[in-house]
Amino acid sequence: MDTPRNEVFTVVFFGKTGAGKSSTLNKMFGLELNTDAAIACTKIPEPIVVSRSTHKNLPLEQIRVVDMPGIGESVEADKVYTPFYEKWIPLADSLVWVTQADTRAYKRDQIFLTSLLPLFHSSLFLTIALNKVDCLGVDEGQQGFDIHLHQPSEVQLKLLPEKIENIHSIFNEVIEERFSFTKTDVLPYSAFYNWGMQNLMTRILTRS
Amino acid sequence: MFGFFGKENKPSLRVVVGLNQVDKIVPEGWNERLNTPTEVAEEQIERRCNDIITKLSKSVEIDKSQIEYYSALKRYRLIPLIGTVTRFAFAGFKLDHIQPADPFEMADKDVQEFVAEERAKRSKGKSKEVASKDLLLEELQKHLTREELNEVKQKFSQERQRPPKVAIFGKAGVGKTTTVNSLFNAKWKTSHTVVGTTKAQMKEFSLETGGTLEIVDLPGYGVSLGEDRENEKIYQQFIPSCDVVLLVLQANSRDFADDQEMLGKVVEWLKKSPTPER
Repeated sequence: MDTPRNEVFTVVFFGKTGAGKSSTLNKMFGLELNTDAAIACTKIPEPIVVSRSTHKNLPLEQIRVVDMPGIGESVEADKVYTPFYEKWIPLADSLVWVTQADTRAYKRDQIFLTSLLPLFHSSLFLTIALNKVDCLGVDEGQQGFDIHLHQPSEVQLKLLPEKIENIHSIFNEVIEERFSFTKTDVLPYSAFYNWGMQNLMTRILTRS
Repeated sequence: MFGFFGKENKPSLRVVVGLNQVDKIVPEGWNERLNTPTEVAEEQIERRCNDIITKLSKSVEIDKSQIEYYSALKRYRLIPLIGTVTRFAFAGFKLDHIQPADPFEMADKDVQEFVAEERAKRSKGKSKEVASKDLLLEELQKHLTREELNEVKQKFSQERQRPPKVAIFGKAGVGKTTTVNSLFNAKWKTSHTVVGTTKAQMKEFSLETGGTLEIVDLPGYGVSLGEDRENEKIYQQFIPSCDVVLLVLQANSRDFADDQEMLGKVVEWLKKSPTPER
């Protein structure tokens, strides 16, 4: 599939409902998208232009970001949103797949990745944005985010490499060898505590 | 004779859905001193859960009355949950005596003392209460011949000899093990975020009031496509033999597509075996 030439570098944010796509965008680019803790609220993709004139940290002059409605809300809703994915994913230069660290359930991600993979062009940047690392292991009684040091707790930092490896192998089960995807394409962060966000932004915009 | 084991005329499927982790729906919504949600949070929890319950009951063939919301960790609303589990279980009378873990054990000391006093006061007036089983037999005597009654009694005692068998089941990481621990007041090892309960585990333990309970702890679904293909075989092998299936969902999540699909399958399997396969 040929890369359609975009006027502006286009970043598409995608992922399971509730994973924190909108709050990630809000924190990263100072936007004001609606977020809701209980009810899925991104219904129609909203392309937004962000430029360096307002965002000094932006590695590129100008970009366009698109917030996609979340997958997995219900079997019916997933069907309704399919045309949006079919329209926007071929236009993406960079695809940010937002998923959360405080779960073990990634089958829904795999199912969607399987059906969307044919829409990916070969030069697409795919990044797995692993949100909510501040909640990693908390349900099992592990120490949560260290507010004083402003980083995940010692236990959480220890759990991270294993978690990243696990995520990489689950996504790779679907990607196989179709394009380059390594463990460095899985980036842990916390939108809530604004941890790892600059790293993530650099990665999704410049691949470095 | 069906009436004793099924529910009235309509044989309900022996599955109950529990919406767990409601304590996480409202940030800062928990009163730790009393170990209950704050008044504001309680309203929001109810609203949010009713929303999920309505949606679920529309998409799969189960009734709203088969769904309960609770928190295993905080021991919140375990009584309604055990009641519903008992009601929809095959031969649910065998689960009658189960006492879920006490939420007030987690409250502040003075609250605990107050609760203990209140309970002592209330239990005084109730000492003469007749066991429901005796009432039922008394009622039956009016309608049945001696032979029929003996047959009923025999069926009951036969059934009592089998321990109740409960399957517990849900997406990976929803708190199945914690639910077993607090709902049936038993102690089990909690699984870790990265590696969970991978194979079906059968565990027997003795109830406080005598007798044993069999819990079938099924591996969590939704981890990956490959794992689920393997899991489905396990589910199909174990579920038809259980007296009741408790499907645990995460109330503070929004992605129920995996659960909807699984619930649909459970309904189909149970329809094929309307009474436990033994």
